[in-house]
Amino acid sequence: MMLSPRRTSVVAAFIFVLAALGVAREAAAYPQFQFSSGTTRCSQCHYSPSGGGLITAWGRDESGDTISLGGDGAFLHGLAPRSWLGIGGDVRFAGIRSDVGGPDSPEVAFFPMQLDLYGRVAYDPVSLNVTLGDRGIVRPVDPTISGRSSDFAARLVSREHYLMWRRGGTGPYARAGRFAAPYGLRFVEHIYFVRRYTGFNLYEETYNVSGGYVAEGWEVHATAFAHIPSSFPDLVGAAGFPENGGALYAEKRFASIMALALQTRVGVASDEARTQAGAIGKLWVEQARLLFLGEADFIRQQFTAARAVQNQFVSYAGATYVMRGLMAGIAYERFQEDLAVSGTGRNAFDAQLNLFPWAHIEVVLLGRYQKAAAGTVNSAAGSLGMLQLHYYL
Amino acid sequence: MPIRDASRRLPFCFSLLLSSGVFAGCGGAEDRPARWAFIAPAIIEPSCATASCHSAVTQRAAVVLEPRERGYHTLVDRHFVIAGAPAVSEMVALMRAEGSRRMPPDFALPEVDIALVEQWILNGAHDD
Repeated sequence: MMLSPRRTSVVAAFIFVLAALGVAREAAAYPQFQFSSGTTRCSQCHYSPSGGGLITAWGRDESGDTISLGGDGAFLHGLAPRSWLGIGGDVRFAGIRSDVGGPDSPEVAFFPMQLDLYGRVAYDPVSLNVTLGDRGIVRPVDPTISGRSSDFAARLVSREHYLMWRRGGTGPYARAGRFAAPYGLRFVEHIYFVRRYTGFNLYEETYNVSGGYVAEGWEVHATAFAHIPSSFPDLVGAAGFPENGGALYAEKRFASIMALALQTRVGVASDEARTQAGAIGKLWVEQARLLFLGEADFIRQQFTAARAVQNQFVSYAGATYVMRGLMAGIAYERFQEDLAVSGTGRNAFDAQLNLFPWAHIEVVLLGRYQKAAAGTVNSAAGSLGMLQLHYYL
Repeated sequence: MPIRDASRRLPFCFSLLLSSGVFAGCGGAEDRPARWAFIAPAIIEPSCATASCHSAVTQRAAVVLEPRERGYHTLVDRHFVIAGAPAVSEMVALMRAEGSRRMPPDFALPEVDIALVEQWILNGAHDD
């Protein structure tokens, strides 16, 4: 197909923006859209059975019709024809103000936060899904100190690449490769305690063999995972505990307004083991246009070499008001690093405003206040303010 | 289960879960081992060796705090830790933001964690 000069310039501009900006951050997912946008399953809007990453044609239509105030959510705003090749991307640019006390606070920084390109090649029922991006840097690199983060090429990362068998949006599926195992609320914000401390912090995607079943009213996912060896190339470089193990996630939905999920994960490393279990709840109150979201996990860590055990608790409880073009939410988070030791608790309070003025465009305002729990000698508190501009391809 | 009943139970269940953590968080006195085998996986790696900072793959400022052995040698060999002397160990000053940027830069560590690190240093900062 020949593109007109106008269309060609639009395409070139997008490619330029993608090339110039960004760093990979997260397979973006918005659990707040479940129920509130009229969709009951994450896999209605995402190719991934558990959500996140490249969005489907349905998801693209929804983004223009029910989430944003207008526009065409299709790839390149509908300028490119749909094909067997699925392409997408996320670009985020952010400015933050962070205050954690000390001589350098408050700190103000502007930085490219995410560049992720998604590709999907499908020959039904099999598809290959690949994400390629660049790792982020919040603060400027000190040129006098060598470090991998100073090299753009060395920051390239493929957080997800997997082969999937799936016949449709519902039914059984299986996939193998690197991705985030289905577990927990899949927030975009990796700083949330329920992501950070449950094995799903930034770039902690593991290599998995996973399978499950997705129905309209329920879904179940089982995953066996292996940590990425440090000998692997940086392109698949990972962080987090070097664990191998498994995860289970089961969700039951009720009347398209409520979901309850139970989950468990076990990870075993050479001299430590982490066992965790938790629950998730979502409740959509149509009259008030409020979505209540909650997650709570108990985590038991065993440190063999130190002959010690640590029990942790992490939770999230939030409410989000959702209307077309806008999403506003507040949340409370709790992380108890060791339930047996006083003064190891942390609280966080979040307020977030997401604006969707036009399909493909999002403006995010996030305010976060963190404070050590009562009883802690060090009463240092921290605050974070962030303005984020997001464009998805 | 009828929806009405379920929707009533959901807030109750989560209140119970959340409050159980809050109250359990009262905790007790510090009895955790002041050993690198505990401090590294329980405090340093989750807070410092993250993908954005001092993980092996990112190596922010050429400081690598994982895996455990490498993290130990980074801290000791580069004199972030002075065995037996927490008061002059840069690592402690960074954690308390005393005269320098706070580390980790996104959240102050609980004082009990810093105190445990100090105790480990005071004990000789062994790789034990």
